Amino acid sequence: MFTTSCTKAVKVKIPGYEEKIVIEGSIETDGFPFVLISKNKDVYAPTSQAEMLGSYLSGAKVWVSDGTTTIQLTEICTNNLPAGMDTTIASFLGLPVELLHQITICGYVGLDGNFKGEVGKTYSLKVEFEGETYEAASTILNPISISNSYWKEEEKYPDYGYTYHVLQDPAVERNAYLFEVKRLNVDSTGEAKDKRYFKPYVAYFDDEFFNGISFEFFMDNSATYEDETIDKKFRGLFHRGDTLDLKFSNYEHSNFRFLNAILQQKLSGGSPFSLPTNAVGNISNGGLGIWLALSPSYSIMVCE
Amino acid sequence: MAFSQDSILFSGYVYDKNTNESIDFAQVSILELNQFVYTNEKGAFKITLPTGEYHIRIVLANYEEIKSKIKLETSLSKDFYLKKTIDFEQLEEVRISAKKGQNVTSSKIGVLELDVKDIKTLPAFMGEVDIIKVAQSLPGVSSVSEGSQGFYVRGGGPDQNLVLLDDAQIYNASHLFGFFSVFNADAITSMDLMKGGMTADYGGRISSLMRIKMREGDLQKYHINGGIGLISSRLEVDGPIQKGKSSFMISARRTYIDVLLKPFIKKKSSLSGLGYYFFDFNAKLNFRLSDKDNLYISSYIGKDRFKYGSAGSDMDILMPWGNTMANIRWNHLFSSKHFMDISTFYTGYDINFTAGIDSYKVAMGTGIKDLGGRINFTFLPSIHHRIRYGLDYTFHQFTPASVNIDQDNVQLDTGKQQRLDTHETAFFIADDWDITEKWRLNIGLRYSMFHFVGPFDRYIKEPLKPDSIVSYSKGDLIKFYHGLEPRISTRILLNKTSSIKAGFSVNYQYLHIASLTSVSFPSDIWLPASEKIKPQSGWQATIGYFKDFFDGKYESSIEVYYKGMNNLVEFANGSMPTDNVNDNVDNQLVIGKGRSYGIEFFFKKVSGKFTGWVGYTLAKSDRIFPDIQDTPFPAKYDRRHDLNLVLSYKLSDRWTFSANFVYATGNTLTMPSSWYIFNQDVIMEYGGRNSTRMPDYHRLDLSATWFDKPYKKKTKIVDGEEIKVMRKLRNSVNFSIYNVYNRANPYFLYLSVKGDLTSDKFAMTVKQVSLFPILPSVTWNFEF
Repeated sequence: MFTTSCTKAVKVKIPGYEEKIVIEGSIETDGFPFVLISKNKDVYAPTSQAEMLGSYLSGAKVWVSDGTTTIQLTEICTNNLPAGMDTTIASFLGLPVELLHQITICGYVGLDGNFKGEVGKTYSLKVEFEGETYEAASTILNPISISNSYWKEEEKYPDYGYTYHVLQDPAVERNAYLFEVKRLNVDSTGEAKDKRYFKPYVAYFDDEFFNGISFEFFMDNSATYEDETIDKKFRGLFHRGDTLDLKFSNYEHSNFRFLNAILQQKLSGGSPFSLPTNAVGNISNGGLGIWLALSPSYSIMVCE
Repeated sequence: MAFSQDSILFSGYVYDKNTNESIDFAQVSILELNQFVYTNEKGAFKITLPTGEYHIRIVLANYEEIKSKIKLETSLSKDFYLKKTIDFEQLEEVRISAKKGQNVTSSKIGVLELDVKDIKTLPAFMGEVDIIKVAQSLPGVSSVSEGSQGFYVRGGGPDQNLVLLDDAQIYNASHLFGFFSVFNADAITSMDLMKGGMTADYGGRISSLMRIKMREGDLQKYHINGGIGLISSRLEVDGPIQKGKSSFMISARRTYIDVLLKPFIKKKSSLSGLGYYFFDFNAKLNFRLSDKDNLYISSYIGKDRFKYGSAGSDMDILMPWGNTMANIRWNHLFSSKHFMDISTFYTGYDINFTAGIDSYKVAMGTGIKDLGGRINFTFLPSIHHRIRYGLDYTFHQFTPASVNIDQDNVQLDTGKQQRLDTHETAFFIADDWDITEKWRLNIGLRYSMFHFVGPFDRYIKEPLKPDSIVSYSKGDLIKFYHGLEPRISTRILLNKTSSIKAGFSVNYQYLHIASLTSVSFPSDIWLPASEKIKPQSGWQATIGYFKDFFDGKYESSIEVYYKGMNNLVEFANGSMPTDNVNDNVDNQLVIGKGRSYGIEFFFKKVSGKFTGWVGYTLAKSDRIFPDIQDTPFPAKYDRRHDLNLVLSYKLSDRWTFSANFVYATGNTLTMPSSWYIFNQDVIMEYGGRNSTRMPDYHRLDLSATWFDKPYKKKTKIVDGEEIKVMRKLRNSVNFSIYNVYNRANPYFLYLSVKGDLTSDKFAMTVKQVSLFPILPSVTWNFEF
């Protein structure tokens, strides 16, 4: 029945656009606070590369406090980054480092070496921009590690497969997780395959269905989805011999709703068979986005 | 007009002489008194008269008139057998709606009636004639769009319509996400829809009542009817079990889209495991136990089954859903003034979803089961009163959401499966009261009660507090609701060809439907009123002017209505399907109000070679949910303008041509009003609820129906005389074109995001998905 359907572009009036600030900030154990500020766009706004990359706004005043110490974040732009910051920023933005060198994006970073994320501390964010003040707070929880990881070859694709991980979920109410992975082995050019952590398709999840029990899940290799040097059928799979740096973070469950809403939006693709769900974060004063404190644990595995 | 108080009952039944099927809406006239009544859906009529001798006339279009003389000294019961003037398909006149005179004289307001035989020549959708689709072409009734479940009456939701098949409820009247109704045209005879407030003998819904009557088998002869279409085929068999006393009817329909598509899908294709079909099975038995007793047994089973298993993937999906219904009904005549109709029924609807992905197995389901009974008495104390009274009882068992997930046979925690038990009871009394010759009043009162009982677990989730559960044991009363539902409608005849009608009704509805989707979908969740959510309540006021022209050949009406609705439910902003796990569905709901109002114009040509109707509705339907947004927002089925034109032209005995045109304001939906970038993902920010309106909907359908000759010529061997002999096998072929000018009508809109944010190939576009382009179809129908 649906084989007869067709799709075409239309222009209809979509009322309700209201300009809002978007705050995208995080801090993690032993990491600096980092904040990006942008604004939401009308659905008919231009979408050129210049428009997209010029979305990040400068001119804001940003502070982060751990309850005893407050620092003001420094506005830095990608054309003037301190040495060694490019990979951190590229990872945060989800951009290739090479691209970062070609464009100018401004963000806000805490560069105080004495002010890094610590487990158990609650970090408060305050942003002043265009006469308005926006606030949020988030706590770095105790880390939870993956207890076991292994790789399994897919029967149909020799030497390729997904990774499998076992998690012993604590029996406390509601835990939320983020899984990221980076391939450390070098490719044919002698460079590390991945220069930043990649998030699998379902990177954010919670323990709604497995609270307090041992749970096994598998993860895909999202770094290869856009890699045209790899045969399409192998994309999303890890290759035998890949050495993986696994970053497994937990965070407050109250922030999971925001991240899950984003996932639901991705999964539904705007179809009418899902409820329109806005991602509601923890930014005050009507701001969009989220201020997220992550508690990562790291492990290395080899696909064999 | 004066009425005698020592009146005597004259009653009886009217049957088709050939088929022995009961005939409804035959007019039984008492010539001397210039009075008449119509037979009901069981072919029964009752009229109370003074003693004396009378001439009786029975008339109905397409049947030969009967005249008879009766002498009334004591109560008299007499049956009449009407003979068809000629086979329906061969008539010079085609009647669209056979209730001549009812437009002006009936006291019911907002009632639509259709005979299945009248719609068989109208344009068919993929070869299937659908009585609900025809109902949607009448004023005040609409579908949300192609591909949406159910129908919408005067701004009310699809859950607010009580759909009865032989007096048993059907919860989901759609197949294939709303493309077809569950009512196989071969298995039913008629449908009536009360959109202006139902009479007191029915309740439980706040918008409308749709009654579908299943066909009864012929008491004298065996028949086989059927049809072969592009995507489905049908077969119906009926005939006597014991001639003149009992009969049967069985009917089946199945689609074969899955079989037809299979040769065109490569074995290695990702679509190779795709399959869909639906089937319906109807059966009815009727027994004339005595002159005073009739017994009817009806049943219906219908299922949709969707499956997907992709080649080269470890994923398997199976999604079956459907209705099951069984009903036993007994009519009994206590005396000439007192009748009883008693029935007991089971009805159920469920939808299940199972998926296997690698080592994970997911099973989800939702459904409702009803077991109940109804006893309905009719009492005729005098010539100007027809009193109905009785009792309805239904035990509902809901399964709002059941989820099971296991991984390598290890069961994950998806919470306790919830089954919600409720008892719904109602007492009613109603009177059709002829106050004067011109003034008729239908007045009624319904008292309904609802008990929500254990076992039940209430999840209590509060911010900053651990979750807790309040458990109720089996039979514990958790919540009791009740209410009085007055119903009144009246008709004042201005003259023989025009009348004014008005109505007011209050209804309670103890069931809700919760939809997570923008369109109605089979997975929408039925759930009862509870201690968290109150029953829906609604009231409606209607007034209309009705006028016939040219001896009833043309009928027209103008109706104005206002409807208020309370305690409607919607999922709260940000709700997600997984929220129902380890929780009660109603914890995710917010409560609101609704209002709708409009004016409906209807003009119909009832008889002649050229028949049809034009209907136009101007309406508005709003919802007020403070927890969703501060200001009222349009209902998703808010439709400002709705124009329908249905025409049929009988060119000859062999050919009939029909056309159907519909124009409607586009439906509303919730679209993203802005977007932003988060971690290099595009995140949508949705605007006001239902604030975007899709482009207008319009469509033209055409059809032509060919009938073979009803007889063949034969020459007598004895004298060479040429005679006409009726054919045993009758054929007709319906050629239809749906969406003649190939309009791309909107099914839904979405924001398409393509390309990498960091490249110049990134683009964001509003896209419209349309389902059906021009679709020709042909169906061969046969009967012998």
